[in-house]
Amino acid sequence: MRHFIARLEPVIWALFGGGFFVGCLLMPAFILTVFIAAPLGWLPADALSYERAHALATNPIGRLVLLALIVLPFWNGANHLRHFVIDLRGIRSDGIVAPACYGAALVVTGIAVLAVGKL
Amino acid sequence: MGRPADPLAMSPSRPGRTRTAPPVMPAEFPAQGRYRSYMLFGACCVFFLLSSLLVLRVVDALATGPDAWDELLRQFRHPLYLAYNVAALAGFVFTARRFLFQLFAKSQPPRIGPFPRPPLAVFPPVLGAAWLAATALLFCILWGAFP
Amino acid sequence: MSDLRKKTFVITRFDPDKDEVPKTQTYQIPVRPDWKVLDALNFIKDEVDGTLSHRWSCRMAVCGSCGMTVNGEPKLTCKTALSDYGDTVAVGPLSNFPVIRDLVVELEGFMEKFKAVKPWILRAKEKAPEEGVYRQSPEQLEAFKQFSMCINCMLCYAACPVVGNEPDYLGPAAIALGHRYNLDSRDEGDAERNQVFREEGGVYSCSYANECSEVCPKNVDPAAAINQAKFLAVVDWAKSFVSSPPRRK
Repeated sequence: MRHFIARLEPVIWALFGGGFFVGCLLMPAFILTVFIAAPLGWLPADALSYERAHALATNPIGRLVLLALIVLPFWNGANHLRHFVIDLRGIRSDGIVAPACYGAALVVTGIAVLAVGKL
Repeated sequence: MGRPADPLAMSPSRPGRTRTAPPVMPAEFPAQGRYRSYMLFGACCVFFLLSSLLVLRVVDALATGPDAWDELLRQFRHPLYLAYNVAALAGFVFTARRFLFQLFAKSQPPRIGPFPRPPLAVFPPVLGAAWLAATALLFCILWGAFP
Repeated sequence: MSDLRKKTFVITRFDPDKDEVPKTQTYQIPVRPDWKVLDALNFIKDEVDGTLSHRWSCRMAVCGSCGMTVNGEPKLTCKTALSDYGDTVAVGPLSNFPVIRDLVVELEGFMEKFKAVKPWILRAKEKAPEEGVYRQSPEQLEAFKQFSMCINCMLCYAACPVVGNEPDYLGPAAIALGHRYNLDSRDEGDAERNQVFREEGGVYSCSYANECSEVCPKNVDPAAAINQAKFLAVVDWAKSFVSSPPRRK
């Protein structure tokens, strides 16, 4: 299994790097507005009302951004978690941890594509 | 002395003529010295995983309808969600600092095809500006600065 | 020497014929103010305990022989001043390596990883001597020169957490040297080396600890080499779907 995953490493690494970029460049603003300011009512009225939020999300660029914000950071987190577990426990659990991490990332990618498509 | 390393770490494919003592990890690994910052960087993967799932929840609520959206925002007001998101914000900033400003510049090859790499000193201000610009742009869009 | 300051050295000892596991032995010796750790070890071996085993050679940080763990950090003992430490100095063998005896570690594992990256110029066809030399511009030399400064001291291997956890991992020095040859304008072997870099234990095992570059005494910056190699190996992998790499016969 490690050998099979090793053959996919270039793709996984590219997704991992993309996740760093999207996570670092876009997530802070998203967290500040959607996850903190909006729930606390700190945004101007209607800034993230359902109508405006839905309009932003269904814009082609909006769909792409949302898809990127789900898929790339998750792949980054999955790959990083695998290496973090290796740091803590050595290579002995990698036969289970690696497929679990990347399997979860594949599932979330599929769900994200369907969810964004459903918007 | 550090904790035991993998028993086969740095071992030759055929054993030498005498018995060797098994390898040990670096003494300060994992929680002391510079390794502490490295392990914190690794632990921030949790924020990448969970925050991306929260974005998925946002997409799902928007696809469901206005009631689901209002309910999601109501749930995000819970102190645990707010505490997580403040921690996540700190985690992403910490990761950005390490990735963008410590690792990225020197990870670029001297040449990609016909294009030479810019001087290393150019990277931090350019990446910093890009980071600020992207954050400000997304923030303004979501804040409602652009209709 | 009686008016000189004394320091205590706690040194890891291991004799495979007598010891089950490594143990420490303490020596208190007079030290000169300008001594390096290696001077103290040589004094102990020459004057106090002739059974102490340690590697050293050039005494000027170019041979890479005297790498050891000093107070928990991998150091070249010929370059590490005793004045940087207090009254007690702990000296042990390099981490992550099997220990042959005392402060001497097994290096054969590294030699195997080293050979795996083919650290020599690979060309489909060598130029005949009468055709002259391979010319390189200063810019072409600059592209790889930093990564050619490695003295194989193994401090990077001792500091890297991945080396200790993944026996397959090629490691910083081997990858940096392979990358050095990939960047060399005279070399045509990058497809072959990138194949090795993409295997289990290749460049993608690196998890960005950056410890290799922190401890390198020659400013090789192996972390830069490994991460550049990751990018170039992806490009090479993507190109392999479009065109087959040039084959060396």
